[in-house]
Amino acid sequence: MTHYVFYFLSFLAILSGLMVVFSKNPIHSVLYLVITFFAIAGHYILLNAQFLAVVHIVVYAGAIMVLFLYVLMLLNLNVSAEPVKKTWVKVAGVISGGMLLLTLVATFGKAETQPLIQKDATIGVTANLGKILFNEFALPFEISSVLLLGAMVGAIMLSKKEVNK
Amino acid sequence: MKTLVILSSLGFLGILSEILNFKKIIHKIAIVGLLVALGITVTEWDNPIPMYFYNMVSFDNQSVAFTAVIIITGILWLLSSISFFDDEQHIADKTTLVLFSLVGAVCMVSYHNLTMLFIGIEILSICIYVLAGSKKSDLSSNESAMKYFLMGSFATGFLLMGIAFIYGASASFDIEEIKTYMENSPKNTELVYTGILLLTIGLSFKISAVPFHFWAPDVYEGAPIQVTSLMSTIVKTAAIAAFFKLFTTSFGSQTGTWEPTLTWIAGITVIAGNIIAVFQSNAKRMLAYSGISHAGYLLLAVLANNENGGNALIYYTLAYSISTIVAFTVISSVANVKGNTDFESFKGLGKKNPLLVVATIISMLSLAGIPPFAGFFGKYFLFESYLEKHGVELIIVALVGSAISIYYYFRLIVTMFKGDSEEIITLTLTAKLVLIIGIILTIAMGICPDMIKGGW
Repeated sequence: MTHYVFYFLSFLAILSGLMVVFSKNPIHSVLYLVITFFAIAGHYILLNAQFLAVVHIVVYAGAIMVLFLYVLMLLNLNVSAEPVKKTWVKVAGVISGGMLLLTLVATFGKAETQPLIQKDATIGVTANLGKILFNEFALPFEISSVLLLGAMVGAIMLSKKEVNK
Repeated sequence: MKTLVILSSLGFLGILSEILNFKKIIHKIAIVGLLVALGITVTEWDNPIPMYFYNMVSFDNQSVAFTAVIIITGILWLLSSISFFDDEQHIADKTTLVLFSLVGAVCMVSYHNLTMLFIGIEILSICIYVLAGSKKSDLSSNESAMKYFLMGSFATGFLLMGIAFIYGASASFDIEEIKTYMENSPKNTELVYTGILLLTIGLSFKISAVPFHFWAPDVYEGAPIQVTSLMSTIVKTAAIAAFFKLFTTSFGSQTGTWEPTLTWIAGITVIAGNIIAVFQSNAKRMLAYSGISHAGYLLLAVLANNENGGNALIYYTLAYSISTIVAFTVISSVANVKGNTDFESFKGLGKKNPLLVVATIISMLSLAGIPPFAGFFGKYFLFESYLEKHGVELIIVALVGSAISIYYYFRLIVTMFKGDSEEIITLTLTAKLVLIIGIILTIAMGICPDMIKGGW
């Protein structure tokens, strides 16, 4: 049963991911991205990571996508005005991207993985995540506040109105 | 560890200074705070228990030395870039961002867990993205920030994916545990290979090694000159220290995987960086390309893959950072008067500006690696540590690169003596101080290199 769900979600994620890149209208791209995020959240639930799934939907599909849509509408970017790229740039991009894809596919084809959830069914449950976050990973958790503060100061600095001297 | 706390609190003080209205003195507070942090860093030398917080960070001697290099560079940078802070409206924001970027840099040199490496890189990068765009009315500054941000986020994606692959294979983020896993005939080698490849891409981008350097010249040229100086010293030091620590600790037993790739990257970086720098007519852009070529030399230490490589790296980054800050102080003083940084602006300045000329000559000779200045011994130690395990092929390439670099470093000096100009470039008191400290340190490190390289 879970196999079918997995394949369905993967198909959905890849298809909508491709549509994000190929659709001409930026608004459509953003909407396809929302579908991708929901599909990935489904994968998290399959992996027993409920907290991550919910946060993924709330933060990415909720906050960030709304932000994207706002920016697109404010800047009126829904007219497709993509700059034309040179042919050799396209060729180089296809070749290097294709090689990376080949490497990744070959890697996953050969890897012997054993789902952690088979060893320990409670892994990924929110309570355990909280414990590990405030014990082992307390320092990274706290130092991320510096990251957020820095980003906040930066945003304020860039958006502050200049006083004319 | 205390250093990290002090730097974070200093940054927080920077935010408070805007609210409590003492932002006029925040620049001085930051310098004093950094001096205190430097003193406390030194006391952590030979720390009996270097691990903190479940092995998240380790302040062993190597990390302490890199932290000291970063803080010394930070102090010199703050002294040299007073003009960056003269705009009263943004002084608190800019100081805060610089101090937070130092927090990120210290995380990057002292991490013992890949999550800390990632967060450190993000803190450093995000602060620098904003600083690169801090001249809001200048289009090229905006362009530089945008380019750096997009390219940097893309590279961080590679880095994160590499970390995920390594975790998938070894089931750990801890660099010592990854090392144990690598040494005991690992299963899932395919995941490891791809992970190392992706990490190489991500980190090469951060040190701007060819062929991941395309962002560097534009970003360096567009950003305000003081931020360029910050990017080519502290960011590079932190990134190469992280690179060295990860590859020699965790992947030290897997040299077959990454050594050929990195050897090519280092060779091409040295040659391409130096050759393109020859054709620049702008001093700032010339220094950007020279910074790219120095990334190639720094990679020799990673390839050396031994303790001496680490020692040489500390010496080299300190020598390089000091010379670069002196060079950028000269360029920004000239740019303040002439309005641009073309070679034309330097014409004839040699006649009437003794300190400026002496500083330029010494920093350029040190960057080119001419004895008896610090840069020469930096290169010498790097070559020595590399030769412990490898042949001379890459060293020959590096020496050819150095020979090319002499041409463009001398061009700046020669330009200063060409033509007649009675113009006197007025230097601020702190700029003079930075130039004098820089000259003294560059000569002192060259005369008695054991002072820094005494080993531990």
